[in-house]
Amino acid sequence: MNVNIRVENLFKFYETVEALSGINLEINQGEFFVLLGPSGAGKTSFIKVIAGVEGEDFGDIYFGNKLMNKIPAYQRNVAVTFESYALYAHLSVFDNMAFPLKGPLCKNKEYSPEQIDKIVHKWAKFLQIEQLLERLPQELSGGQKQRVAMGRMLVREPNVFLMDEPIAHLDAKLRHIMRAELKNIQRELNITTIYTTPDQLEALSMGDRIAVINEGKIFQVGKPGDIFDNPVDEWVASFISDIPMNIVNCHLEVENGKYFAINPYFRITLPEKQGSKLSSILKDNNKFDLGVRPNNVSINTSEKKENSIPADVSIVEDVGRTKIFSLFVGDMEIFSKVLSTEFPDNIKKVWIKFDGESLHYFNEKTKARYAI
Amino acid sequence: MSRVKLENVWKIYKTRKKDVVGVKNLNLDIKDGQFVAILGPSGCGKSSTLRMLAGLEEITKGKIWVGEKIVNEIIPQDRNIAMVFENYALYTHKTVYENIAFPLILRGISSNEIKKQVYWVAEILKIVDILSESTSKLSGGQRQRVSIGRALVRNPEVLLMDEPISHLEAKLRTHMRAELTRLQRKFNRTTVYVTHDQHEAITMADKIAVMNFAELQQYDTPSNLFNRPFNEFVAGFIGEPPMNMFDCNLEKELNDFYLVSKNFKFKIPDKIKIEIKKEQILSREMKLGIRPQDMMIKKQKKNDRNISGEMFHWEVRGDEGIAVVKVDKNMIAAKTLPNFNFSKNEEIQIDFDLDKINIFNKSTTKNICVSDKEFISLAERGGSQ
Repeated sequence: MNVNIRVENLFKFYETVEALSGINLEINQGEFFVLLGPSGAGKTSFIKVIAGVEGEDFGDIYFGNKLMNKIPAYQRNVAVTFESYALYAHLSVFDNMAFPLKGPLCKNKEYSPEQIDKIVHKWAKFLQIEQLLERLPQELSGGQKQRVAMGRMLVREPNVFLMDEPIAHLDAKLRHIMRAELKNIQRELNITTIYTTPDQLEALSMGDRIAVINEGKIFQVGKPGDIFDNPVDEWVASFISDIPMNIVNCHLEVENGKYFAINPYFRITLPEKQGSKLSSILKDNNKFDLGVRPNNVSINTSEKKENSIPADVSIVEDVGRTKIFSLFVGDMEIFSKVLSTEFPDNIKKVWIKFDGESLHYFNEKTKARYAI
Repeated sequence: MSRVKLENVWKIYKTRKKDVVGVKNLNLDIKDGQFVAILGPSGCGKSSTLRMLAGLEEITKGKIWVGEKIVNEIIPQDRNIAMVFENYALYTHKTVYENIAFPLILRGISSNEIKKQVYWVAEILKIVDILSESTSKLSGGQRQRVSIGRALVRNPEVLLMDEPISHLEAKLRTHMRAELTRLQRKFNRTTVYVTHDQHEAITMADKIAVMNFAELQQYDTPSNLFNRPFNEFVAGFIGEPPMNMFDCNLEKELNDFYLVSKNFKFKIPDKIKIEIKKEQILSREMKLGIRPQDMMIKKQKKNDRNISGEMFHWEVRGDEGIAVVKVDKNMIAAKTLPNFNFSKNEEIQIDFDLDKINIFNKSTTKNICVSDKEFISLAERGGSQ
């Protein structure tokens, strides 16, 4: 019961606002596909158009080889969860799960009460909520409610799961367990799933692949590790990490076969391989943006010889076992994330060092990343 | 100067059927220039506390001091306290300049003086270039800065903020957090900040008052709250994922104390001082609390403190991973490295940093571990104890 989804040149307008502008995507059979983007990026519009709740203005949607544009929502065999579980508060778990089998839109089949009973029990058993069937939603924990909502989706045996920020409103404490459960259920059933979230950690931890979307356009598609390690441009690089990547405008200088990144506030050597590659890309225009993630910026309380950059400590955030430093190098703000055991509390002046193996290079004008 | 002190403060809401306690016997001492967050789930009494401070709500019992004065009977506008609200409450038909100048105009200050004050605030907030814009054109972050500007221009003794950034988008929130902290340090005004978001409180505040069910649970520095939570509620509320709990018994052998369960047995290290009261001798049932950050997952059992479990799920999120492990019927979270290598349903052993454990009495839910340093701050915690 799964299918691949292909979207070609999809557009959606709300009056004059372009919610989706020319989206091309291929989602594989059984894949857990995450659509990641800030609010207003077009995530919910995309889900609605795929579900058929709203029509597209241009472009094609295929499930397998079948063109879906003209097919109404209830015949698409997709199951959608929106942000709240939307369980019927006055119905028992059993009746909640049985509802789609009795509903007015269940036109393709008529089920006898015995059949309904069998189907509901089958999925309740699978989700391990058989003992809860008589209860009302208000008597369930958050996790149990999620499983009931899943159950209600599953009884129809959909080809596609569409989940629009399903755990965004949940208690932060439970989210890691919810994510684990959702992912495990999806794995086991192997249903093609599109999952939207504004939370990059959720996307990185759940997606088989991620599409980064903003302003109705897809910026990058890839495996979580690929997007994290090789972001396509500065915007994606910053969006994909919890603390935005540090980006510093520099120019390249070559001296005695060594490569230097130079800025009014520092002059550091670049690893030779990267430097020579960068130099061959940049040619005469020697300007570029240097990117480094906060966890690749190390801090020393005394000056170390090479590549040390003096910095003033502005703010230190202590988050559990790690500390996040907001530092100023001249008027540039640089973030650094380090283990909290390493540092005394009230330091004002430090020396920072960028990890040479974790540097990113971007085009100064287009902000696109150089493949180095 | 502008030390804020709450002494046995109660807020009781009278309804037709019964009295509802909003704030129960709260004691807080906020030093001059300190940034204090009041943190708790919705309905814990944090906003009631803030509103009593502002004078928007009557104090049922107790005293509130601002500086040398008791402010119970002083009306809001005379308290010299400024408040920033979640929804900014800006005048949308006025420009940024007019919004910031408004409190000064009401006081009948000369327009030259007003101009000076507004520019002084606008420069610090970096909004000089938008002073003539209408507020309806501004982004969320800019609006919040304007509303803070309006609060600061009066030069208040105390600044109160009620969830000022909780509705902003995640990225902007990160940015505003750092900015608010920096501003507070610069203005150096005593600040009370209400939030339900532990991350905000931990990263911004000098001290945090954790509240639940109208009562103060702990008033402490962020790192003390993290390392030595006073009770199970605080342990679960601070930290993400929350602290993992394991049922066990406290046993005494000779002069040493041991924690024992069917999963593990180990001696409590000498470094950790435990405080045992009479009632706890009767009940030896404890909960061992371990932070996900202090756990290590191993393949082989190495010693008696290792806890065996079954891998349920593992997720990597950029530069770190979180493993969800089934121990008996509970789900346990452990932080791992991003290159962690275990498969689902694999039998594993959980090891942990012995010096970082906490032990909670199962019946009172209180932490029985106390270190010398914390005996001193015990007095400060006061309140509900």
